Amino acid sequence: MRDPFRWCWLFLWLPFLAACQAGAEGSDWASVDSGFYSEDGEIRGRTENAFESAGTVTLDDVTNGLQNNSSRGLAGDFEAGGADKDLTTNLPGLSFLYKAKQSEPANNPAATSKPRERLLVHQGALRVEVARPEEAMASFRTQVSTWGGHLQTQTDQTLVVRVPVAHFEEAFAWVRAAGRVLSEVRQAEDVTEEFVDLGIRLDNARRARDRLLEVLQKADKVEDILKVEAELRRLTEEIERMEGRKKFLADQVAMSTLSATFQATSEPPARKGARGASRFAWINRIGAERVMGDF
Amino acid sequence: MKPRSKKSIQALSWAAILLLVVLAGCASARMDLPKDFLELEDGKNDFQAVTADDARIWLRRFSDKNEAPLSFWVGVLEHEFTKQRGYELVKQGEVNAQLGAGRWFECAANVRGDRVGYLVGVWANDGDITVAEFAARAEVFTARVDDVRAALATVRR
Repeated sequence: MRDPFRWCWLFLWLPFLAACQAGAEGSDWASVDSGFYSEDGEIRGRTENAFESAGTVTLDDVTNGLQNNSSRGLAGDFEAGGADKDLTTNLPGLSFLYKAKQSEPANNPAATSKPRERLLVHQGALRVEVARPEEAMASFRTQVSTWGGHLQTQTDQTLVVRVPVAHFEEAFAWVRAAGRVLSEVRQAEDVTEEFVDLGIRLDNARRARDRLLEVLQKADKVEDILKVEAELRRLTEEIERMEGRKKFLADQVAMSTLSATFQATSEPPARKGARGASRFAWINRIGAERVMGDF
Repeated sequence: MKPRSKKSIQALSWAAILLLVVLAGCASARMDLPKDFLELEDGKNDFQAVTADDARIWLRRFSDKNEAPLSFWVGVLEHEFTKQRGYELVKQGEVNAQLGAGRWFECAANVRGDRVGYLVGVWANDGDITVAEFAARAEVFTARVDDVRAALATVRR
């Protein structure tokens, strides 16, 4: 007689077998999980990259980016109000990127693929001691011209020049090599955020102006027309001011500013008392100073 | 008239000889001047000459009780000019003058805000140091230095 419970032990193994099955299929599960997390990470990564991008855009990128954002209706999003509007207010320079993250598909590689540069305003000042300042200044001015730069101001022996940013390092090194360096200072101011912010505000202002023009065409009452025109004037002035500022920043980024002071080599310090540094009296009675003075 | 004694004549002779020796010792050095230079007569024992564009030559003698050799003075001058006074040594060389073997240095220096060229030749002979100097503003110096350097060969007592 067969034992009716002889297969029962198999039921005890079922959970274990199920677990093994799960292990065999674990890669799929894991892929789902990692896919989820990787997707999440990708989003987060993209967000970080997007924020990095906010600090590393070029002039063209900024312009194109703004146009793209406009085409995506991001500017309209700004006016949608709510939490997003608050965020854009708090992070004006990064706001459109936040919007981009919200509006773009998560898998869009275009948002992360392009490394971008910062918009830096390079400035430097050098003071060097040279034997012949006039010659050094003339040579420097000639050199600046060959770099595509120009003289901004000249005060005594100080030249302030503007040179294309690509030649800034070269210009700095040229002045350093011209003589003995007495002092030097240089800085690079990051104006990326301000530039991006200006672009966004400018775009919004232009759109608002366009809408006001539409409203103006439809307005019937004189009172309304006057109000709209006043607002149009204010908006136009604001646009012009922002355009000017943006143009100024672009110029500052494209052309670096270098101040170079060429100081004449100082004469050897006068010795105290008789020029008796030499223990030989006749040595102290000769020399260029004596011939040019005591002759 | 009483004739001079023999001793008196001898004493006068010795005095004359001594005077000649002293005069010879005090005689200033001289040289043939390059073109455009005019010798100045100022009653001093030095030999001085100038040009219209203010180039200057000054030839002097100094006493050296130590009787140091020329090589010693060359070292002293080089150290003094370059290390002590900040002159820029442009070049140096030897000169065989009528006075003997000497050495010259060519330097550039700043004097009262002007860039000045300076050429100095030096000779050392038995406790006697002869120095020939030539100085002028840089552009004048450059135009005349070759002539002056050549004239150093004519330095004599």
